[in-house]
This record gives sequence, C-alpha cells and structure tokens, in this order.
Amino acid sequence: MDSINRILEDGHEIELTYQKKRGIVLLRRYNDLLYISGHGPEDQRTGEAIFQGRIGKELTLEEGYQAARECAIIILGVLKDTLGTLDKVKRIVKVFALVNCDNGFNQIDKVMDGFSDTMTEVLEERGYHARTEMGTHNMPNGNIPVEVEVIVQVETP
Amino acid sequence: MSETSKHLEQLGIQLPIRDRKGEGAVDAVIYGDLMYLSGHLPVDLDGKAVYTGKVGVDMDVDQAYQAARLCGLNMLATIKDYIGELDRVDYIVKCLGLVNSGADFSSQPAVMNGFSDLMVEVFGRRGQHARSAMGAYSLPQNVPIVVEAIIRIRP
Repeated sequence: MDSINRILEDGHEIELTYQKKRGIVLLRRYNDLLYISGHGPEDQRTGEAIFQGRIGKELTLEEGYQAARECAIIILGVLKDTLGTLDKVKRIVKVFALVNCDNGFNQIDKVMDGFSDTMTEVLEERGYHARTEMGTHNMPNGNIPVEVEVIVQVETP
Repeated sequence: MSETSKHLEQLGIQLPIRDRKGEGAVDAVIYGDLMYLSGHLPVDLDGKAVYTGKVGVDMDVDQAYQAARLCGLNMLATIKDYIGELDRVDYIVKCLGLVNSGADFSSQPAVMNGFSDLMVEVFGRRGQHARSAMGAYSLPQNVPIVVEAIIRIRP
C-alpha cells in the first residue's frame, strides 16, 4: 500500500499538534477502535475558530462544506499524530455530526459531504463510513458551524 | 513514492482518479459482530422524503410515529441488503432518534416509539434496545425524524 501521508488537492498538508483540555482527551482507545472527541473547525494550537456562524445566515452552504472539510483535515491530523501514519487507519467506522443551522436551513447532508468527501479523497476505500448528521442552533466557540465526532478502526500492532 | 508508482511514472501511465464525491457516507458499516447503521430517513426508494416538517408544528405525533416507522423499515432493508437475511440479526443494541421539533415540542419518545414498536414487532425480544431520543433544530430534507442504530449480527 502506498503511504497515504500526502497533500490534499488544495494544498493542505495533514500535519497537526493539539492541546489537552480539562477532563477531556482527544481520543480514547478501546481495543482496535479510537473514539475521537467532537472536533470543530478550530486552530488546534490556539483554539481560535476558523469558521463561525450559522449556515444559511452568516455562512453559505459552500462555506459550511469547507468548514466540514476542515474538521476532516483536523481529525486526519489527530490520527496521523496518534498513529504515526495514516497507513494504520483500517477504516473510518462511524461519524456523528452537528451542523449549526439558521431557521429553515436543512441541507445538512450537503454540508457534511465536505467531511465525507475529504475522508474518501485521502483514505479511498478506507474512508467510507456510516454517518448521522443533525441540525442544531447553538454551538461552542462563537457558534462554530460544524462539530464532528468519529469512531475509527485502527491496525493493532 | 513507492517503487510501483515510480515505475508507472517511467512508463508514462497515469491512473484515472476515481471521483468519490457525495458517496463517502454509506448506509452501514460492519465492525466485527456489530453493524453501525447511519441515520435513516423516512424516504421512498428514490431517497426522497415521504414526510417533511417539524413535529408539533407541521405534523402531530401520530404522523411522526408513522415517519419513525418508515425509518425503521428503511433500516431493515439496509440490514437485509448487507447481511442477506434478517435471521442473522442477533439483537438491536442501541438506537438514537433525532426528532425535528418545534420550540415547545417534547414528546420525542412518543414519536420514536414508531421505530421501537416496529423492531419489537419484527424481532420480538431481539428487537428491544437501549434508546435515546432528542429534539433536533433541523434535519436533512426537513424530515421529521432520523434514526441511527447499532445492531449485533450472527455469523
């Protein structure tokens, strides 16, 4: 298998550091599963939101898609950081996503394709996943537009 | 770059890049003896919403109950599609119901019963499950309910 540590189409390199917050860890391992905490489109070093606002009001569908893509990139960085290489990802199993919506906005699945398209772009067959998404109206950090949690299956040593 | 990739480059072979846009989210993923089911919507065979609207605003509990039941039927179809035979369902483990709720609506469990009742109807005791139900601000295609599940399967 070719190494998957590559650069995405638009020049993002998958590379990241992170901070731990009280009581919360980035992820917990259970056998060959990683339970990854919900991540928003936030700078992982400073905690500053990269995107803020509700989709359908402050942000367009396209910006929501980009925000979801950013979440995928962040989580791929978490995986690369934790495992050393994305080659050790067996597959993305299950995704649960919250999308911050303006009243009347419901193209939540189109927003979340920003996340899913990125996973299959980078991980190909291993990037396909079960997914549930819902619209909400209040999110942390100045109303980030998207938050995604993931369960990932990894190679055991 | 791998040896094979270098070789392809030398041969001047460019592999076609498969466009996976829009298909990353699949209906279910099997992990060992568990099947993780994506949120299932009350849609028809073409994926179009049969029910739309907020419960407590655009529809009452009874209609939403039917929508939840349809989520369940679609989920059973997915399960059968993936494992070939519903006898292979050991039991339903856990479900989460998201109910598109008006501001004052709080009968999400009554709506979710449309799904849970169906599972027990079809599987008997095997259909009983741990469950959470909550109000959502908005759902894809403005459907009234989305249900996801984890089930245990037999070899």
